[in-house]
Amino acid sequence: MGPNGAGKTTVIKMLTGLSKPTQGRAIVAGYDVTTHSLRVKENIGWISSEVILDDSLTLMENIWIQAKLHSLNNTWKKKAIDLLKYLELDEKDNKKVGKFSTGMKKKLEIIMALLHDPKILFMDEPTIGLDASSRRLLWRLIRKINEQYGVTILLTTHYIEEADALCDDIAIINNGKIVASGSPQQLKSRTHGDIIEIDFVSYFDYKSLEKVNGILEIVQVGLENIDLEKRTQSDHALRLRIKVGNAETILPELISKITGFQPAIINSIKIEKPNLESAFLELTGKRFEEIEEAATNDQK
Amino acid sequence: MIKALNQLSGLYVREIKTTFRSPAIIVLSIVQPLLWIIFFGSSFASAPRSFLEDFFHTDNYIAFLLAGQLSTSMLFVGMFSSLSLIQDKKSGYLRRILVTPTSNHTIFLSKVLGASTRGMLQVPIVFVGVMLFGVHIPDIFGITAFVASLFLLSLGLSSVYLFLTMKSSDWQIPTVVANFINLPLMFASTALFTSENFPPWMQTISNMNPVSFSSTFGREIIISGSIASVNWMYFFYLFIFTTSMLLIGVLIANKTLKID
Repeated sequence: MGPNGAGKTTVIKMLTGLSKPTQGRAIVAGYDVTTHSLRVKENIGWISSEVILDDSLTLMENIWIQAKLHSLNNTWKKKAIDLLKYLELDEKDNKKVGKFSTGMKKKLEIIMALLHDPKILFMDEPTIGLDASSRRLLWRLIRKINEQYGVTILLTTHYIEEADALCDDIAIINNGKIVASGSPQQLKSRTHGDIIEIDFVSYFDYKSLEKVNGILEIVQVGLENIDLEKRTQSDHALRLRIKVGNAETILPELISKITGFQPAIINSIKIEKPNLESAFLELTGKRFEEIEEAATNDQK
Repeated sequence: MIKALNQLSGLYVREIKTTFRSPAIIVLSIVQPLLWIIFFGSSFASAPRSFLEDFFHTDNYIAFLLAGQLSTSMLFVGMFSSLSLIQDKKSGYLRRILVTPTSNHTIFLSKVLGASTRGMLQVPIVFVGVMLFGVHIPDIFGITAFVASLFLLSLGLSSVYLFLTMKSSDWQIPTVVANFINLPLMFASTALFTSENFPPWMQTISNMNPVSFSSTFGREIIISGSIASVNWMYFFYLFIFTTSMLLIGVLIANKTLKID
Protein backbone atom coordinates (compact mmCIF):
# COMPACT_ATOMS: atom_id res chain seq x y z
CA MET A 1 0.00 0.00 0.00
CA GLY A 2 1.29 3.44 -0.78
CA PRO A 3 0.48 6.75 -2.44
CA ASN A 4 0.97 7.35 -6.14
CA GLY A 5 4.62 7.34 -7.08
CA ALA A 6 5.57 5.40 -3.95
CA GLY A 7 6.97 2.52 -6.01
CA LYS A 8 4.18 -0.07 -5.87
CA THR A 9 4.18 -0.88 -9.58
CA THR A 10 7.98 -0.82 -9.68
CA VAL A 11 8.03 -3.46 -6.95
CA ILE A 12 5.63 -5.63 -8.94
CA LYS A 13 7.69 -5.15 -12.11
CA MET A 14 10.85 -6.24 -10.34
CA LEU A 15 9.24 -9.20 -8.58
CA THR A 16 7.66 -10.43 -11.82
CA GLY A 17 10.90 -10.13 -13.77
CA LEU A 18 9.72 -7.26 -15.96
CA SER A 19 12.37 -4.87 -14.65
CA LYS A 20 15.80 -5.53 -13.24
CA PRO A 21 16.55 -4.14 -9.80
CA THR A 22 19.35 -1.58 -9.84
CA GLN A 23 20.57 -3.01 -6.56
CA GLY A 24 19.62 -5.60 -4.01
CA ARG A 25 18.19 -9.06 -4.44
CA ALA A 26 14.69 -10.48 -4.56
CA ILE A 27 13.62 -14.11 -4.27
CA VAL A 28 10.18 -15.13 -5.54
CA ALA A 29 8.92 -18.70 -5.21
CA GLY A 30 12.46 -19.72 -4.32
CA TYR A 31 14.12 -18.18 -7.38
CA ASP A 32 16.20 -15.06 -7.80
CA VAL A 33 14.30 -12.60 -10.00
CA THR A 34 17.47 -11.42 -11.74
CA THR A 35 19.27 -14.67 -12.44
CA HIS A 36 16.28 -17.03 -12.80
CA SER A 37 13.53 -14.77 -14.09
CA LEU A 38 12.01 -17.45 -16.35
CA ARG A 39 11.72 -19.80 -13.34
CA VAL A 40 10.05 -17.02 -11.38
CA LYS A 41 7.61 -16.46 -14.25
CA GLU A 42 6.68 -20.14 -14.31
CA ASN A 43 5.51 -19.84 -10.73
CA ILE A 44 3.60 -16.59 -10.74
CA GLY A 45 0.35 -15.23 -12.06
CA TRP A 46 -0.22 -11.56 -12.82
CA ILE A 47 -3.18 -9.23 -13.06
CA SER A 48 -2.58 -5.62 -13.99
CA SER A 49 -4.42 -2.46 -13.07
CA GLU A 50 -5.74 -2.07 -16.60
CA VAL A 51 -7.43 -4.85 -18.55
CA ILE A 52 -4.95 -6.46 -20.95
CA LEU A 53 -6.53 -8.98 -23.31
CA ASP A 54 -6.63 -9.49 -27.06
CA ASP A 55 -10.04 -8.10 -27.91
CA SER A 56 -10.03 -9.62 -31.39
CA LEU A 57 -9.88 -13.14 -29.93
CA THR A 58 -12.58 -15.12 -28.17
CA LEU A 59 -12.51 -15.89 -24.47
CA MET A 60 -11.27 -19.43 -25.09
CA GLU A 61 -8.64 -18.27 -27.59
CA ASN A 62 -7.23 -15.85 -25.00
CA ILE A 63 -7.04 -18.68 -22.49
CA TRP A 64 -5.50 -21.01 -25.10
CA ILE A 65 -2.67 -18.54 -25.78
CA GLN A 66 -2.02 -18.25 -22.05
CA ALA A 67 -1.84 -22.05 -21.84
CA LYS A 68 0.61 -22.07 -24.75
CA LEU A 69 2.80 -19.40 -23.16
CA HIS A 70 3.05 -21.56 -20.05
CA SER A 71 3.46 -24.66 -22.22
CA LEU A 72 0.72 -26.47 -20.33
CA ASN A 73 -0.29 -29.99 -21.24
CA ASN A 74 -3.83 -30.86 -22.33
CA THR A 75 -5.23 -30.67 -18.81
CA TRP A 76 -5.39 -26.88 -19.12
CA LYS A 77 -8.78 -27.11 -20.82
CA LYS A 78 -10.41 -28.90 -17.89
CA LYS A 79 -8.89 -26.38 -15.50
CA ALA A 80 -10.14 -23.55 -17.69
CA ILE A 81 -13.65 -24.98 -17.80
CA ASP A 82 -13.67 -25.40 -14.02
CA LEU A 83 -12.51 -21.83 -13.52
CA LEU A 84 -15.03 -20.54 -16.05
CA LYS A 85 -17.82 -22.24 -14.13
CA TYR A 86 -16.41 -21.03 -10.83
CA LEU A 87 -16.40 -17.43 -12.05
CA GLU A 88 -19.67 -17.83 -13.97
CA LEU A 89 -18.20 -17.16 -17.40
CA ASP A 90 -18.83 -20.60 -18.87
CA GLU A 91 -21.41 -19.50 -21.40
CA LYS A 92 -19.16 -16.89 -22.98
CA ASP A 93 -16.35 -19.11 -24.27
CA ASN A 94 -16.99 -18.45 -27.97
CA LYS A 95 -17.58 -14.73 -27.68
CA LYS A 96 -14.94 -12.14 -28.56
CA VAL A 97 -13.72 -10.49 -25.40
CA GLY A 98 -13.89 -7.05 -27.01
CA LYS A 99 -17.62 -7.16 -26.28
CA PHE A 100 -17.22 -8.08 -22.61
CA SER A 101 -17.85 -5.72 -19.70
CA THR A 102 -14.87 -4.66 -17.59
CA GLY A 103 -15.99 -6.97 -14.80
CA MET A 104 -16.11 -9.95 -17.15
CA LYS A 105 -12.69 -9.08 -18.53
CA LYS A 106 -11.29 -8.93 -15.01
CA LYS A 107 -12.73 -12.39 -14.33
CA LEU A 108 -11.10 -13.68 -17.51
CA GLU A 109 -7.79 -12.21 -16.44
CA ILE A 110 -8.12 -14.02 -13.12
CA ILE A 111 -8.78 -17.30 -14.95
CA MET A 112 -5.73 -16.75 -17.15
CA ALA A 113 -3.60 -15.89 -14.13
CA LEU A 114 -4.63 -19.08 -12.30
CA LEU A 115 -4.49 -21.45 -15.26
CA HIS A 116 -0.98 -22.76 -14.52
CA ASP A 117 -1.50 -23.10 -10.73
CA PRO A 118 0.86 -20.29 -9.73
CA LYS A 119 2.34 -20.20 -6.26
CA ILE A 120 2.03 -16.44 -6.11
CA LEU A 121 -0.48 -14.17 -7.78
CA PHE A 122 0.55 -10.56 -8.32
CA MET A 123 -2.25 -8.04 -8.58
CA ASP A 124 -1.23 -4.51 -9.43
CA GLU A 125 -4.02 -2.20 -8.25
CA PRO A 126 -6.63 -4.63 -9.58
CA THR A 127 -9.68 -2.56 -8.73
CA ILE A 128 -8.51 0.81 -9.96
CA GLY A 129 -11.07 2.38 -12.27
CA LEU A 130 -13.85 -0.03 -11.23
CA ASP A 131 -17.13 1.22 -9.83
CA ALA A 132 -17.99 0.43 -6.21
CA SER A 133 -20.08 -2.67 -6.94
CA SER A 134 -17.51 -4.15 -9.34
CA ARG A 135 -14.82 -3.47 -6.76
CA ARG A 136 -16.78 -5.31 -4.07
CA LEU A 137 -17.36 -8.20 -6.49
CA LEU A 138 -13.65 -8.42 -7.21
CA TRP A 139 -12.86 -8.39 -3.50
CA ARG A 140 -15.15 -11.37 -3.02
CA LEU A 141 -13.42 -13.15 -5.88
CA ILE A 142 -9.97 -12.42 -4.50
CA ARG A 143 -10.98 -13.84 -1.11
CA LYS A 144 -12.49 -16.92 -2.78
CA ILE A 145 -9.37 -17.53 -4.84
CA ASN A 146 -7.16 -17.19 -1.79
CA GLU A 147 -9.30 -19.64 0.19
CA GLN A 148 -10.18 -22.12 -2.56
CA TYR A 149 -6.87 -22.30 -4.42
CA GLY A 150 -4.53 -21.52 -1.55
CA VAL A 151 -2.50 -19.17 -3.70
CA THR A 152 -0.51 -16.38 -2.07
CA ILE A 153 -1.65 -13.02 -3.38
CA LEU A 154 0.54 -9.95 -3.45
CA LEU A 155 -1.69 -7.01 -4.15
CA THR A 156 -0.83 -3.35 -4.47
CA THR A 157 -3.42 -0.72 -3.76
CA HIS A 158 -3.91 2.83 -2.65
CA TYR A 159 -7.40 2.05 -1.40
CA ILE A 160 -7.19 1.85 2.38
CA GLU A 161 -10.40 -0.12 2.77
CA GLU A 162 -9.22 -2.59 0.13
CA ALA A 163 -6.04 -3.34 2.03
CA ASP A 164 -7.99 -3.59 5.27
CA ALA A 165 -10.59 -5.91 3.77
CA LEU A 166 -8.27 -8.24 1.86
CA CYS A 167 -4.81 -8.34 3.36
CA ASP A 168 -3.32 -10.48 6.10
CA ASP A 169 -0.09 -8.50 5.92
CA ILE A 170 0.47 -4.99 4.71
CA ALA A 171 3.62 -3.08 3.84
CA ILE A 172 3.23 0.65 3.52
CA ILE A 173 5.74 2.12 1.10
CA ASN A 174 6.60 5.71 0.48
CA ASN A 175 9.30 7.05 -1.84
CA GLY A 176 10.43 3.51 -2.61
CA LYS A 177 10.95 2.49 1.00
CA ILE A 178 8.90 0.36 3.35
CA VAL A 179 7.89 2.68 6.16
CA ALA A 180 5.84 0.13 8.09
CA SER A 181 4.70 -3.45 7.78
CA GLY A 182 2.58 -5.92 9.67
CA SER A 183 -0.99 -7.11 9.93
CA PRO A 184 -3.70 -4.47 9.57
CA GLN A 185 -4.27 -4.76 13.31
CA GLN A 186 -0.57 -4.25 14.08
CA LEU A 187 -0.35 -1.26 11.81
CA LYS A 188 -3.37 0.33 13.39
CA SER A 189 -2.03 -0.22 16.88
CA ARG A 190 1.30 1.32 15.87
CA THR A 191 -0.34 4.66 15.43
CA HIS A 192 -3.07 5.37 17.97
CA GLY A 193 -4.16 2.23 19.77
CA ASP A 194 -7.84 1.70 20.66
CA ILE A 195 -10.00 4.20 22.45
CA ILE A 196 -12.51 3.00 25.05
CA GLU A 197 -15.07 5.68 25.80
CA ILE A 198 -17.11 5.09 28.95
CA ASP A 199 -20.06 7.15 30.22
CA PHE A 200 -20.66 6.88 33.97
CA VAL A 201 -23.88 7.95 35.65
CA SER A 202 -21.91 9.83 38.31
CA TYR A 203 -18.48 11.14 38.96
CA PHE A 204 -15.86 9.16 40.86
CA ASP A 205 -12.12 9.42 41.33
CA TYR A 206 -10.99 7.58 38.24
CA LYS A 207 -7.24 8.17 38.80
CA SER A 208 -6.83 4.71 40.27
CA LEU A 209 -7.84 3.20 36.89
CA GLU A 210 -4.46 4.29 35.51
CA LYS A 211 -2.93 1.36 37.37
CA VAL A 212 -4.70 -1.14 35.08
CA ASN A 213 -2.14 -2.82 32.81
CA GLY A 214 -2.25 -1.69 29.20
CA ILE A 215 -3.86 1.68 29.76
CA LEU A 216 -1.87 4.36 27.98
CA GLU A 217 -3.80 7.47 28.85
CA ILE A 218 -7.09 8.53 30.49
CA VAL A 219 -8.78 11.77 29.54
CA GLN A 220 -11.94 13.11 31.13
CA VAL A 221 -14.15 14.74 28.55
CA GLY A 222 -17.46 16.51 28.25
CA LEU A 223 -17.32 18.63 31.41
CA GLU A 224 -15.18 21.44 30.17
CA ASN A 225 -17.98 23.93 29.49
CA ILE A 226 -20.32 23.15 32.32
CA ASP A 227 -20.94 25.62 35.13
CA LEU A 228 -20.49 23.53 38.25
CA GLU A 229 -23.08 25.61 40.19
CA LYS A 230 -25.81 25.13 37.61
CA ARG A 231 -25.17 21.54 36.56
CA THR A 232 -28.10 19.10 36.36
CA GLN A 233 -28.19 15.47 37.40
CA SER A 234 -26.94 14.36 34.03
CA ASP A 235 -24.11 16.85 34.24
CA HIS A 236 -22.88 15.04 37.28
CA ALA A 237 -22.03 12.24 34.91
CA LEU A 238 -18.51 11.38 33.92
CA ARG A 239 -17.16 10.53 30.50
CA LEU A 240 -13.72 9.03 30.12
CA ARG A 241 -11.73 8.39 26.97
CA ILE A 242 -9.23 5.70 27.74
CA LYS A 243 -6.43 5.08 25.28
CA VAL A 244 -5.29 1.45 25.28
CA GLY A 245 -3.25 -0.90 23.10
CA ASN A 246 -6.01 -3.41 22.49
CA ALA A 247 -9.47 -2.80 23.92
CA GLU A 248 -10.63 -6.44 23.92
CA THR A 249 -7.65 -7.52 26.02
CA ILE A 250 -7.95 -4.80 28.61
CA LEU A 251 -11.70 -4.49 28.92
CA PRO A 252 -12.33 -7.40 31.36
CA GLU A 253 -9.79 -6.12 33.90
CA LEU A 254 -10.99 -2.55 33.43
CA ILE A 255 -14.64 -3.46 34.03
CA SER A 256 -13.66 -5.49 37.06
CA LYS A 257 -11.78 -2.53 38.50
CA ILE A 258 -14.63 -0.12 37.76
CA THR A 259 -17.24 -2.31 39.42
CA GLY A 260 -15.14 -2.01 42.60
CA PHE A 261 -16.33 1.60 42.85
CA GLN A 262 -19.92 1.53 44.05
CA PRO A 263 -20.92 4.92 42.70
CA ALA A 264 -19.33 4.35 39.36
CA ILE A 265 -22.18 2.79 37.47
CA ILE A 266 -21.54 2.43 33.78
CA ASN A 267 -24.05 4.00 31.46
CA SER A 268 -22.45 3.00 28.15
CA ILE A 269 -19.22 1.74 26.65
CA LYS A 270 -17.97 2.48 23.16
CA ILE A 271 -14.83 1.11 21.55
CA GLU A 272 -13.18 3.11 18.79
CA LYS A 273 -10.72 1.18 16.67
CA PRO A 274 -8.01 3.12 14.88
CA ASN A 275 -8.29 2.67 11.12
CA LEU A 276 -5.67 2.13 8.48
CA GLU A 277 -6.27 5.53 7.06
CA SER A 278 -4.97 7.21 10.19
CA ALA A 279 -2.01 4.82 10.19
CA PHE A 280 -1.38 5.53 6.52
CA LEU A 281 -1.52 9.26 7.06
CA GLU A 282 0.82 9.14 9.99
CA LEU A 283 3.32 6.86 8.27
CA THR A 284 3.39 8.43 4.82
CA GLY A 285 2.66 12.01 5.77
CA LYS A 286 0.08 12.16 2.97
CA ARG A 287 -3.63 12.62 3.30
CA PHE A 288 -5.58 9.78 1.78
CA GLU A 289 -8.05 12.12 0.06
CA GLU A 290 -5.18 13.76 -1.81
CA ILE A 291 -3.91 10.38 -2.94
CA GLU A 292 -7.30 9.24 -4.17
CA GLU A 293 -7.81 12.50 -5.98
CA ALA A 294 -4.45 12.13 -7.70
CA ALA A 295 -5.31 8.57 -8.69
CA THR A 296 -8.67 9.65 -10.10
CA ASN A 297 -6.96 12.35 -12.14
CA ASP A 298 -4.47 9.78 -13.43
CA GLN A 299 -7.34 7.54 -14.53
CA LYS A 300 -8.89 10.42 -16.47
CA MET B 1 12.77 -26.79 -26.97
CA ILE B 2 9.21 -28.14 -26.86
CA LYS B 3 8.29 -25.36 -24.48
CA ALA B 4 9.72 -22.73 -26.86
CA LEU B 5 7.84 -24.27 -29.81
CA ASN B 6 4.61 -24.23 -27.80
CA GLN B 7 5.10 -20.58 -26.96
CA LEU B 8 6.07 -19.73 -30.54
CA SER B 9 3.03 -21.53 -31.95
CA GLY B 10 0.71 -19.74 -29.51
CA LEU B 11 2.04 -16.31 -30.37
CA TYR B 12 2.22 -17.10 -34.09
CA VAL B 13 -1.39 -18.28 -34.20
CA ARG B 14 -2.40 -15.10 -32.40
CA GLU B 15 -0.63 -13.04 -35.07
CA ILE B 16 -2.36 -14.94 -37.84
CA LYS B 17 -5.82 -14.82 -36.28
CA THR B 18 -5.50 -11.12 -35.60
CA THR B 19 -4.40 -10.53 -39.19
CA PHE B 20 -6.96 -12.68 -40.90
CA ARG B 21 -9.86 -11.37 -38.83
CA SER B 22 -9.25 -7.86 -40.06
CA PRO B 23 -11.18 -7.21 -43.28
CA ALA B 24 -9.02 -4.14 -43.99
CA ILE B 25 -5.84 -6.21 -43.97
CA ILE B 26 -7.36 -8.86 -46.23
CA VAL B 27 -8.57 -6.27 -48.74
CA LEU B 28 -5.23 -4.45 -48.67
CA SER B 29 -3.32 -7.69 -49.16
CA ILE B 30 -5.40 -8.60 -52.20
CA VAL B 31 -5.84 -5.24 -53.86
CA GLN B 32 -2.35 -3.76 -53.48
CA PRO B 33 -0.40 -6.39 -55.47
CA LEU B 34 -3.08 -6.56 -58.13
CA LEU B 35 -2.96 -2.80 -58.59
CA TRP B 36 0.79 -3.03 -59.03
CA ILE B 37 0.44 -5.72 -61.66
CA ILE B 38 -2.42 -4.01 -63.49
CA PHE B 39 -1.11 -0.46 -63.52
CA PHE B 40 2.66 -0.71 -63.29
CA GLY B 41 2.68 -3.95 -65.27
CA SER B 42 0.82 -2.26 -68.11
CA SER B 43 3.45 0.50 -68.45
CA PHE B 44 5.13 -1.31 -71.31
CA ALA B 45 2.00 -2.86 -72.85
CA SER B 46 2.46 -0.89 -76.08
CA ALA B 47 6.23 -1.22 -76.24
CA PRO B 48 7.67 -3.01 -79.31
CA ARG B 49 8.41 -6.69 -78.75
CA SER B 50 12.07 -6.19 -79.70
CA PHE B 51 12.45 -3.47 -77.04
CA LEU B 52 11.00 -5.78 -74.38
CA GLU B 53 13.23 -8.65 -75.42
CA ASP B 54 16.33 -6.43 -75.51
CA PHE B 55 15.62 -4.70 -72.26
CA PHE B 56 13.76 -7.28 -70.14
CA HIS B 57 14.77 -10.54 -71.88
CA THR B 58 11.09 -11.48 -72.29
CA ASP B 59 8.23 -10.25 -74.45
CA ASN B 60 5.89 -9.88 -71.45
CA TYR B 61 6.83 -7.17 -68.94
CA ILE B 62 4.36 -8.55 -66.39
CA ALA B 63 6.28 -11.85 -66.45
CA PHE B 64 9.41 -9.79 -65.78
CA LEU B 65 7.71 -7.73 -63.08
CA LEU B 66 6.02 -10.61 -61.20
CA ALA B 67 9.04 -11.71 -59.13
CA GLY B 68 10.13 -8.11 -58.58
CA GLN B 69 6.69 -6.98 -57.50
CA LEU B 70 6.32 -9.80 -55.00
CA SER B 71 9.82 -9.14 -53.67
CA THR B 72 8.99 -5.45 -53.29
CA SER B 73 5.80 -6.40 -51.44
CA MET B 74 7.93 -8.27 -48.91
CA LEU B 75 9.71 -4.98 -48.21
CA PHE B 76 6.46 -3.38 -47.18
CA VAL B 77 5.24 -6.44 -45.32
CA GLY B 78 8.34 -6.24 -43.13
CA MET B 79 6.96 -3.04 -41.66
CA PHE B 80 3.99 -4.95 -40.21
CA SER B 81 6.25 -6.83 -37.81
CA SER B 82 7.26 -3.48 -36.28
CA LEU B 83 3.70 -2.22 -36.15
CA SER B 84 2.51 -5.41 -34.50
CA LEU B 85 5.14 -5.08 -31.76
CA ILE B 86 4.31 -1.42 -31.18
CA GLN B 87 0.62 -2.35 -30.96
CA ASP B 88 1.46 -4.92 -28.27
CA LYS B 89 3.54 -2.37 -26.38
CA LYS B 90 0.78 0.24 -26.53
CA SER B 91 -2.00 -2.13 -25.50
CA GLY B 92 0.09 -3.67 -22.71
CA TYR B 93 -0.14 -7.12 -24.29
CA LEU B 94 3.66 -7.33 -24.45
CA ARG B 95 3.67 -7.07 -20.66
CA ARG B 96 1.19 -9.95 -20.48
CA ILE B 97 3.55 -12.05 -22.60
CA LEU B 98 6.67 -11.00 -20.71
CA VAL B 99 5.31 -12.08 -17.32
CA THR B 100 5.07 -15.62 -18.68
CA PRO B 101 8.19 -17.77 -19.10
CA THR B 102 8.49 -16.74 -22.74
CA SER B 103 11.89 -15.67 -24.04
CA ASN B 104 12.29 -12.38 -25.83
CA HIS B 105 13.58 -14.13 -28.94
CA THR B 106 10.40 -16.26 -29.11
CA ILE B 107 8.36 -13.06 -29.22
CA PHE B 108 10.69 -11.71 -31.92
CA LEU B 109 10.36 -14.85 -34.03
CA SER B 110 6.56 -14.91 -33.72
CA LYS B 111 6.37 -11.35 -35.04
CA VAL B 112 8.73 -12.10 -37.93
CA LEU B 113 6.85 -15.28 -38.86
CA GLY B 114 3.49 -13.53 -38.56
CA ALA B 115 4.51 -10.70 -40.87
CA SER B 116 6.05 -13.13 -43.37
CA THR B 117 2.92 -15.26 -43.45
CA ARG B 118 0.93 -12.14 -44.08
CA GLY B 119 3.20 -11.41 -47.03
CA MET B 120 2.75 -14.90 -48.40
CA LEU B 121 -1.01 -14.31 -48.57
CA GLN B 122 -0.37 -12.19 -51.65
CA VAL B 123 1.42 -14.87 -53.62
CA PRO B 124 -1.53 -17.03 -54.78
CA ILE B 125 -3.59 -13.92 -55.50
CA VAL B 126 -0.88 -12.41 -57.68
CA PHE B 127 -0.31 -15.74 -59.44
CA VAL B 128 -3.98 -15.93 -60.40
CA GLY B 129 -3.90 -12.26 -61.44
CA VAL B 130 -0.87 -12.58 -63.75
CA MET B 131 -2.29 -15.66 -65.44
CA LEU B 132 -5.00 -13.38 -66.81
CA PHE B 133 -2.20 -11.34 -68.43
CA GLY B 134 -0.78 -14.35 -70.20
CA VAL B 135 2.03 -15.20 -67.78
CA HIS B 136 2.83 -18.90 -67.60
CA ILE B 137 3.04 -20.29 -64.09
CA PRO B 138 6.05 -22.58 -63.55
CA ASP B 139 5.82 -26.21 -62.44
CA ILE B 140 5.34 -27.18 -58.80
CA PHE B 141 9.10 -27.28 -58.11
CA GLY B 142 9.47 -23.85 -59.62
CA ILE B 143 6.61 -22.46 -57.58
CA THR B 144 7.99 -24.04 -54.40
CA ALA B 145 11.48 -22.63 -54.96
CA PHE B 146 10.09 -19.20 -55.84
CA VAL B 147 7.81 -19.09 -52.78
CA ALA B 148 10.64 -20.29 -50.56
CA SER B 149 12.87 -17.45 -51.80
CA LEU B 150 10.12 -14.92 -51.10
CA PHE B 151 9.58 -16.38 -47.65
CA LEU B 152 13.31 -16.09 -46.90
CA LEU B 153 13.32 -12.49 -48.11
CA SER B 154 10.27 -11.72 -46.01
CA LEU B 155 11.78 -13.27 -42.88
CA GLY B 156 15.01 -11.34 -43.38
CA LEU B 157 13.36 -7.99 -44.05
CA SER B 158 10.87 -8.39 -41.18
CA SER B 159 13.82 -9.10 -38.91
CA VAL B 160 15.56 -5.93 -40.08
CA TYR B 161 12.46 -3.85 -39.44
CA LEU B 162 11.87 -5.37 -36.07
CA PHE B 163 15.36 -4.94 -34.70
CA LEU B 164 15.63 -1.40 -36.00
CA THR B 165 12.42 -0.43 -34.21
CA MET B 166 12.66 -2.79 -31.21
CA LYS B 167 13.05 -0.05 -28.63
CA SER B 168 10.41 2.24 -30.02
CA SER B 169 6.76 2.61 -29.04
CA ASP B 170 6.14 5.37 -31.55
CA TRP B 171 3.84 4.58 -34.46
CA GLN B 172 5.80 7.00 -36.68
CA ILE B 173 9.12 5.20 -36.40
CA PRO B 174 8.34 2.23 -38.72
CA THR B 175 7.17 4.70 -41.36
CA VAL B 176 10.37 6.70 -41.03
CA VAL B 177 12.45 3.53 -41.22
CA ALA B 178 10.38 2.36 -44.22
CA ASN B 179 11.28 5.50 -46.13
CA PHE B 180 14.95 4.98 -45.51
CA ILE B 181 14.89 1.26 -46.32
CA ASN B 182 12.14 0.55 -48.81
CA LEU B 183 12.67 3.10 -51.52
CA PRO B 184 16.48 2.68 -51.86
CA LEU B 185 16.18 -1.11 -51.72
CA MET B 186 13.34 -1.13 -54.23
CA PHE B 187 14.91 1.21 -56.78
CA ALA B 188 18.47 -0.05 -56.37
CA SER B 189 17.42 -3.57 -57.20
CA THR B 190 16.40 -5.63 -60.20
CA ALA B 191 12.78 -5.67 -58.99
CA LEU B 192 11.42 -3.27 -61.62
CA PHE B 193 14.21 -3.08 -64.20
CA THR B 194 17.42 -4.88 -65.04
CA SER B 195 20.54 -3.37 -63.50
CA GLU B 196 22.41 -3.16 -66.83
CA ASN B 197 21.73 0.56 -67.22
CA PHE B 198 22.27 1.51 -63.57
CA PRO B 199 25.22 3.76 -62.72
CA PRO B 200 28.11 1.79 -61.16
CA TRP B 201 27.31 2.82 -57.56
CA MET B 202 23.70 1.68 -57.96
CA GLN B 203 24.83 -1.55 -59.56
CA THR B 204 27.03 -2.18 -56.53
CA ILE B 205 24.06 -1.73 -54.22
CA SER B 206 21.88 -3.86 -56.48
CA ASN B 207 24.44 -6.66 -56.46
CA MET B 208 24.30 -6.80 -52.65
CA ASN B 209 20.59 -6.18 -52.36
CA PRO B 210 18.47 -9.11 -51.10
CA VAL B 211 15.53 -7.75 -53.12
CA SER B 212 17.65 -8.28 -56.23
CA PHE B 213 18.51 -11.84 -55.15
CA SER B 214 14.86 -12.74 -54.77
CA SER B 215 13.75 -10.84 -57.91
CA THR B 216 16.38 -12.36 -60.14
CA PHE B 217 15.97 -15.87 -58.74
CA GLY B 218 12.18 -15.75 -59.09
CA ARG B 219 12.35 -14.17 -62.53
CA GLU B 220 14.58 -16.92 -63.85
CA ILE B 221 12.02 -19.48 -62.66
CA ILE B 222 9.02 -17.59 -64.10
CA ILE B 223 10.61 -16.96 -67.48
CA SER B 224 12.12 -20.42 -67.90
CA GLY B 225 9.12 -22.16 -66.30
CA SER B 226 11.19 -24.51 -64.12
CA ILE B 227 14.16 -24.67 -61.78
CA ALA B 228 16.33 -26.47 -64.31
CA SER B 229 18.38 -23.46 -65.36
CA VAL B 230 18.21 -21.11 -62.38
CA ASN B 231 21.24 -19.75 -60.56
CA TRP B 232 20.95 -21.15 -57.02
CA MET B 233 23.61 -18.77 -55.77
CA TYR B 234 20.89 -16.13 -55.41
CA PHE B 235 18.92 -18.47 -53.18
CA PHE B 236 22.06 -19.16 -51.16
CA TYR B 237 22.72 -15.40 -50.74
CA LEU B 238 19.13 -14.97 -49.56
CA PHE B 239 19.58 -17.80 -47.09
CA ILE B 240 22.74 -16.15 -45.71
CA PHE B 241 21.01 -12.77 -45.51
CA THR B 242 17.97 -14.15 -43.71
CA THR B 243 19.95 -16.30 -41.30
CA SER B 244 22.17 -13.34 -40.42
CA MET B 245 19.23 -10.98 -39.88
CA LEU B 246 17.38 -13.54 -37.76
CA LEU B 247 20.46 -14.08 -35.61
CA ILE B 248 21.05 -10.35 -35.17
CA GLY B 249 17.36 -9.91 -34.37
CA VAL B 250 17.41 -12.67 -31.76
CA LEU B 251 20.46 -11.13 -30.08
CA ILE B 252 18.97 -7.64 -30.09
CA ALA B 253 15.59 -8.92 -28.85
CA ASN B 254 17.18 -10.75 -25.94
CA LYS B 255 19.08 -7.64 -25.00
CA THR B 256 16.62 -4.82 -25.60
CA LEU B 257 13.02 -6.05 -25.83
CA LYS B 258 11.17 -4.79 -22.79
CA ILE B 259 8.13 -2.84 -21.74
CA ASP B 260 8.31 0.94 -21.43
